[in-house]
Amino acid sequence: MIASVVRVPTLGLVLLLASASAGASSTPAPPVALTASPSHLNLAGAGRATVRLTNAGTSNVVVDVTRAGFALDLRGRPKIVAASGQQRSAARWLSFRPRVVALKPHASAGVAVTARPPPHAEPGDHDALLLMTSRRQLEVGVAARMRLGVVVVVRTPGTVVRRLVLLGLRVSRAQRARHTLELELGNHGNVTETLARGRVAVSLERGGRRLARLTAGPSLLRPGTRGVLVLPLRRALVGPVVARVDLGFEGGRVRRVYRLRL
Amino acid sequence: MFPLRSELPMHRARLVPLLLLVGALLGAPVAGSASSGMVVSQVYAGGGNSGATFANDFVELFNRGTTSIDLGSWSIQYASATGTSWQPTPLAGSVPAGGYYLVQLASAAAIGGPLPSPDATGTTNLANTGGKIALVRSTNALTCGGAVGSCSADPLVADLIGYGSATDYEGSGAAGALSNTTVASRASDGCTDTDANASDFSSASPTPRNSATTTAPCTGGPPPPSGGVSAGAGVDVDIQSALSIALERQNISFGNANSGESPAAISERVTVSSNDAAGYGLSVHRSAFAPADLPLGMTATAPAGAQIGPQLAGGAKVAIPIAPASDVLIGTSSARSATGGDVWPTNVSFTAPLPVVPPGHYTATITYTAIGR
Repeated sequence: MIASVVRVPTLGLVLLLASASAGASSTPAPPVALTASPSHLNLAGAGRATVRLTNAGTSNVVVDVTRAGFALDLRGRPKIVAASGQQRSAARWLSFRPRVVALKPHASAGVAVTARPPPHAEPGDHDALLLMTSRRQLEVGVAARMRLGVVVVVRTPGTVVRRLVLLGLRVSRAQRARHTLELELGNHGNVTETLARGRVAVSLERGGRRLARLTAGPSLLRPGTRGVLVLPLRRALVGPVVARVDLGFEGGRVRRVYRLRL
Repeated sequence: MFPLRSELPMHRARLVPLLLLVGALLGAPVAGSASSGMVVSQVYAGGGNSGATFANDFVELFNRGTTSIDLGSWSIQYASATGTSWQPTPLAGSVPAGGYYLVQLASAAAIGGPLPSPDATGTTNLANTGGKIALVRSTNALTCGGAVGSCSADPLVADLIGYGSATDYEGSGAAGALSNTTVASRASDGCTDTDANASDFSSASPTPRNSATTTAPCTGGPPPPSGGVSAGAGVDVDIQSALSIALERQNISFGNANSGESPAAISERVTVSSNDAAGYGLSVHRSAFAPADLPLGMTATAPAGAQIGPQLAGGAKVAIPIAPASDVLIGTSSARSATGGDVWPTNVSFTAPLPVVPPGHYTATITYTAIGR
């Protein structure tokens, strides 16, 4: 099924494309550039939303729409996994139309996404990816194509459990670089936890005197997973220290003391 | 780091924050909290002091939006002028459009009159000389405030006022200091919000208003100047997150080559744009060459502010995996893109001299993937 083409990109797209063109004043527009908006979807149970796909390039493009599983590695780097490759995957609950989108230059079209969780789905957040992949244009050499992944989070109804636990704090000793602290967290709840910048702080003390206070950048931890926050030491410290970890999140606050040797 | 992703895919904002977002995309520095209809409209810190007008400190809130706002999980929080330790006072109930909400705080002594019936009470003692008040969509204590813009970067902070000698505020300066008989008062009865504390607030006599006060919706605009006619119109817009990818070229041709040779690398710059502060990840995989596979690889570097993938760190050349093997991570970004997008320079080449294969035309497909976070 080929989608009908419309020529009115949403404001988010306008802003993004304006941003892209601002930096490309000295170079010609790319032959193909794809934009998806929104870049992630949150659906409450059985729900429906639309992702708008725009061709900001100068050539026609045909885009195939598929679904996949989504995961983050320990350090929060996104990964594409099989639709059934993780415990809380929502990939099999998603349907979408159309499956193929043909776009002329500067045209856009909507992809309707529908989630249908099963009746007894576990409460909380479940993830999936909507993948939109351009088809290769030429049958010569190495063809380059683009793919955009929109993260879809389906929150199924039921009791929301928020529980973050501290699993450990260790020192990472990099050669010719400052040490870093690595704080391992586990999300034992059933919803994704977002930790805004500064929500995780580690104070390093010796003899009751604070030597440094480290804070972590923004982070996100999906339910039933572990993650590692990296906290770089801004100045050289050696010897034993007491590390006081303070973690604040929507579900409460966790504090714990570790003894480390830097 | 694992990334932060906004809980809301779509953000309703007024025109001024939209302009600020455009400014942010263009690289202009901005210190303004995520806008909502709910704002701090008055702050009084002289409660119970010598000569005080009222016996208690108070913070007055105002709903300058067009719909009712539920404050069930919200709080107001106070930190000293230079501090980053915040004292939350939980809020409750909802505020209609144009409605006020009064939070009664500490009293130094029984000096001054009583406040109108408060909608929430707390024990925080505000300082006259300087401090920070944040309206937060959470009851967890903030940890920001050490530097200008640090609290505005927290998406849970709905509004912020720094006054006097405060180290964090919205805009280019703090509101003026308070006294036992004056408040910091938001202009136009609470309707003015340009994310600039110094100009949005001015010193005035305290006039605390609570939920029983007659609502004063902001849709009417300022009064017309004498002798002229004017009209006001509310403007709002929904801003969606968006993710974009563009390639330098659609086809990477190594031309004619012989077995045993190593054709020169070919540049493929990948431009990724995201207006979401959570950033994105960029990865790559390929199909096998037909009629026989060749050892395709790449090098890459990260744009400023982004992180190169571990396998490509230090300029390493890696083999591009063949699907269905997992992608190689080129890199990640944990912030909004730079103006014009983040440009990732990649160089596609071979990881070894071309093997002895039958002559012919060899083709493959390389796929660059950007995933919003």
